[in-house]
Amino acid sequence: MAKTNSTEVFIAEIVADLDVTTQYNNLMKASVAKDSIYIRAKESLQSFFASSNMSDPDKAAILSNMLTSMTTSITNQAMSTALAIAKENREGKYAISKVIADILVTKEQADKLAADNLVATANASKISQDTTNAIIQGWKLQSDMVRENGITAFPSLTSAALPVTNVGDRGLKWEQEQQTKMSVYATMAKSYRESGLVSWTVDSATNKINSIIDLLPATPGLTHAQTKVAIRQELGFDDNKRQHAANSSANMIGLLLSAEESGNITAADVDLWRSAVGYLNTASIGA
Amino acid sequence: MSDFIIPKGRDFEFTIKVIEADSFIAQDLTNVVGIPTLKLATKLVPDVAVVTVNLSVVDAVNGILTGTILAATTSTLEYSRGPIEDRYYLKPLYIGVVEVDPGDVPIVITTIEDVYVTPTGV
Repeated sequence: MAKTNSTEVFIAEIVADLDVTTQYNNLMKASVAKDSIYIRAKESLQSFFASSNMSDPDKAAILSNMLTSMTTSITNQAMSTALAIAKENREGKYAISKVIADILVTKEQADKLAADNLVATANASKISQDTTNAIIQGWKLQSDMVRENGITAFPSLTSAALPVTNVGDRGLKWEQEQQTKMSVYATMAKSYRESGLVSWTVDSATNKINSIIDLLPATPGLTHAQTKVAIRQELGFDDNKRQHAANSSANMIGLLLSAEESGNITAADVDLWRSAVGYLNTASIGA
Repeated sequence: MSDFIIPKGRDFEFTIKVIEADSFIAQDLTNVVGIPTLKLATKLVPDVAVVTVNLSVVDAVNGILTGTILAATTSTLEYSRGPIEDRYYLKPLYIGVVEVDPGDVPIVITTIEDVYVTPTGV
């Protein structure tokens, strides 16, 4: 699996002081060694002195000048070189480590570029697939336009505004609109049949119906008729109860008379019969 | 190349690596012809060999030769040193010449410009 973060850990390291003395001693030894320029120059001068007629003070002057010049030059050069070597010895390994790390970074970047190329290739494939999907979606959209909205493909749709000629009385939406209209008609007819012809007023503040007015009491509708039937049924129940009371009182009086027991018939029994029959003759007719 | 320093009065065994002309590649001595030699001469009279030593091929592929200068011979060699203020540095009084015939290439002649001799108390 490709790395998603660096695993490197920074570790602080104590750096030693510059070791100039060792380098300086080595350089000075090499500068005056047996095959050094210093020895060669000195031997050459001594050989020249041996074959010349110069005075000793002149020879001493030349030799001292040369030695002073050479030693000063060698010492200064050795010191500066030793400092440079010591510094390089101390810091060189870090510089090389950094170069190695930079190389690793470059390799990682190359790997990332390769990975990016893979992603780009995958994206290209996805774009191609998306294009196919978009075409299919276009087909679905056109199909929906025909099936649901009744839009025809001819004439061609070339402007943002839908041409009227493309719209026809067909499609799911149009059929649903017709069905809704029929439902309204059915509701209105049912309401007329049940409630008769009514009107209503709307409260302008609440935008709600606040009163319903029966416009034609003579054609009240089914609900009004059912109300009257219910009232009549309630009266019928009451009449039936009184009728039973009248029948039972008449039967009792008739049985006592036929058994020649008229003496047991009281005025209260006759009043009960009269009261029931009188109610039936007045209340029922009055309702 | 390290200094060629001969210990005076003692046996001196040494090895020499022969390289191809104008190259750092070792000379192949598999088909060497004759006996390789090392000749020493003084720098004052370089044309006259004072010591001749036969060399042996010990690693033909890598061009390695070996030889020994016996103590009896090293005793005859002279040395010279610088003054006390220059820490008695050694002076090279001899020059060396190595001659070897690889067989399949021209004869190789290599010089050792500075040959030192150091006293050993013998």
